[in-house]
Amino acid sequence: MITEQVLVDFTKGKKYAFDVIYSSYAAGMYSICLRYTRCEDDAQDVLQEAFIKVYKNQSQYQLSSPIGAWIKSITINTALTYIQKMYKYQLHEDEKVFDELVWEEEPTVDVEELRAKLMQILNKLPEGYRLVFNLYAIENLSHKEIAEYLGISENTSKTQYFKAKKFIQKILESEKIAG
Amino acid sequence: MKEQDEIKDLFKDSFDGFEVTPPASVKINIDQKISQIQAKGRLKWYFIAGISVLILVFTVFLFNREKSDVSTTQLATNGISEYDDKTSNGISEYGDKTKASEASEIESKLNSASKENQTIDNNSNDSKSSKTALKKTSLKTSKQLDKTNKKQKTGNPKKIKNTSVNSNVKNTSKSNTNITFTKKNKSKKSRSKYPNKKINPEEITPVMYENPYKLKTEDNIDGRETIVATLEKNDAAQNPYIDSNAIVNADSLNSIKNDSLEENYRMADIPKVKRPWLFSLKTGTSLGFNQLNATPALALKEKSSFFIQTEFAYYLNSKMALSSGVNYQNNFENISQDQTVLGDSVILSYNYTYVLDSMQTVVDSIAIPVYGQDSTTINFANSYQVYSIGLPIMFQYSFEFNPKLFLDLSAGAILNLQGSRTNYEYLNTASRTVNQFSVKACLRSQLRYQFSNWGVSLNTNFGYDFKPVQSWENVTRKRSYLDLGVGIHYMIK
Repeated sequence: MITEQVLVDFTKGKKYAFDVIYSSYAAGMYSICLRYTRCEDDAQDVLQEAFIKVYKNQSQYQLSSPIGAWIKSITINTALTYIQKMYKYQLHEDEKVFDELVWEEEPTVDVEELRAKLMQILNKLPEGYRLVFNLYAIENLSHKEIAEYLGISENTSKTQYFKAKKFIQKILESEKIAG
Repeated sequence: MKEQDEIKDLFKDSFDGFEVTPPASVKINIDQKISQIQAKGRLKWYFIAGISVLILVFTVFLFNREKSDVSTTQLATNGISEYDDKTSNGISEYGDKTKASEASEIESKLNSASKENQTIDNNSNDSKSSKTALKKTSLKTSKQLDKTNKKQKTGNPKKIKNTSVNSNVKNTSKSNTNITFTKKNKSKKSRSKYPNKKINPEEITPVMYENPYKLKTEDNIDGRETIVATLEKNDAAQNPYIDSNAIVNADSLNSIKNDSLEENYRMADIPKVKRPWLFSLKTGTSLGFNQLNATPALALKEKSSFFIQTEFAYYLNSKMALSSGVNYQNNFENISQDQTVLGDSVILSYNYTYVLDSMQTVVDSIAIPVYGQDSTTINFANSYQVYSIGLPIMFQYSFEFNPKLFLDLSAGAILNLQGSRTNYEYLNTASRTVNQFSVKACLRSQLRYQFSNWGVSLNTNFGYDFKPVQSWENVTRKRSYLDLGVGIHYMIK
C-alpha cells in the first residue's frame, strides 16, 4: 500500500519505500517491458534497469504527480533506449515484411489466451512498428508525442502505425480474432 | 476505420490492467545494484572524510613546520608578572616594559655585565640538530630593574630546537637573566608573522626581560630538551607576582599574545614547541580467526595474508599522538562443506546358495544379490581472494623505557573498502561477491627503537572485523584477526 508517507520517504531515499513501490508497480511495468521487448530476458533487463533509474532519480520525483505515471514513463523510456541500443531497429518502410511473415493459425479461447496471442503478434512485429503501435494504441500517446519520443517525424509515426495495424489486421483476419 | 479502431481497442482492452509478476531474481538483481549504488555513495563520503583528515593533518604539519621556520626566535623567560594557574603553567601577561630610548643604556650595562655571562650548551642525545645554547646574562639587581622599569634585551642568537621549559625552584640570584634563542641555520624564508616588526637576522632587536630564574637543560623524550627554570625563594619573596612553585613550559609561552605587548617590546617570535611527526611504513602477515554458525557445518580456512601500511603520527605532546594513513591487505579464504549424495541402488555383494545332490556334491549355485544404496561424500568448496584498502585512525600513547626504546600502544579503527573475487565456485551455498565498506576495531602495540631520526619496530595488531566481506545466507560469521609485522620509522622534527 503506497501511502503519502511512503512517497515522502521514497523521495528521501528510504529503501523500504522503494521496496513498497516496487512491489506495487513491478508487475505492471513488467507487462509493459514484455510488450516492448522480444523476450522475457530482455524484459527483465529493462525492468531492472528501469527500477534502478527510479531509485537513482527518486529525489526528482514530484510528490504532486502520480508516481505510477512517473515510473511508467521511466520504464517506457528505458525500454526505448534498450531497444535502440540492443536491437538497433530501423523503421520499416518495406512492405515485403508482411509477405515474409507466416502466422500459425490457432483458435483463441479465453482472455488470457487472447492476450498471449496478441503478445505474440506484437512480438512478430518489426521493432519500429511495435514501438509506434505500443505507444499509440496502448499508451495512448499522440503521433506528435511519439515523434518527439523517437526522434522521427509525425508523418513517419503515422505511417508506421498504419503499417503495423495493417500487419496486425492481416494476422487477425487469418485468425478471425477481430471478427 | 471502424475496423482499425477495433484493433486498437482490442489491444488496449486486452492489455489494460495487464500485469505479469516478474521473477524474484529481478528484485534480487535490483537490490544488488542498489547496494552498489549505496556503497558508492558511502565511498564518496568515506573518500571526502579521508581526504579531509589527510588535508587537516597535512595542514597541521605544514603549519607546524612554518612556525619553526622563522629565522630568529627570541625567548625571555622572565618578564612574567602574573601566573594564571600553577598547573596550567599559564603566563598571562608580560608586565615589564622597556622604552626604546633606554635601550642603549641597557646595552652598555649589558656589556659591563657580560663577564658574568654564562652559556649553557647542551646537545641532544638523539639529534645533533637539537643543540641549544643559552646565554645567561646578569644585568642588575631586581631593585635596579624596578627602577629602570625592568628593561629587556635580547642577546646573541643561538639555536634552539624542540625546546620546552619546565620548573622548578632551586637556585637563587638577585641578578636578572636575559635569554635569547635563535636558529643557527637561518632560513632564506625568514619572516615574522608580525608585520609591524620586521626582523633582520643581522640586527636583532634588543628585547630585555627580567629573569629571576636560573636555567638548565635536561633531556626529554624523543630528543627534545627541557629547560628547567629555577628560582630562589628570596626572589619570589621580593616579587609577589612570581610564584616560586610555578611551572613554566614552552607550551604556555606559545600562548602569549605578542599583539598584547607594546610594539617595541614585542618578541620577534615566540618559540614554538616543535612537535615531531613519526612516519611509519609497516608490513607483515595477518592471521584471521573465524567463527561460523551454520547448519550443516561449514569449514572456513583463512590463509595468512599480507598487509602493508603507511602512517603519519602527529604528537600532541611527548607521549600522545594521533595517526592516520593508508592500509592495504590481501588474503585468501577457502570455505568448504561436505555433502553426502545418495546414488542409485547398487549390488553390494552376492549371497550364494548352493544346490547339493545326495552325495553332497555341489551341482548348482544360485547367486542372490544384496542391494544397497550408493552414496558419495562430495566436498564443495569456494575460494575467495579478499582485498581491502583502509584508512586507519588511531590514538597512540607512548611509554618510554629509555630515550631510544618506546612502547607505543594504540587504539582506533580502520575504515575499509573491501572487495572479493571468487576464484572458483562449487559450493551450492549462495555466496556473494561484493565490494563494501566495513569498519575494523583495532588495538595495536609497537615496540619501537629509535636510532636517531630513524627507527625500527615490531608490531602486533589485534582487531575485530565488524563486517567481513564474504558472508553467506543464514550463516553468522564472526571474524577477528592478528597482525604481526615489522616497521621502519622516520621522526620528522
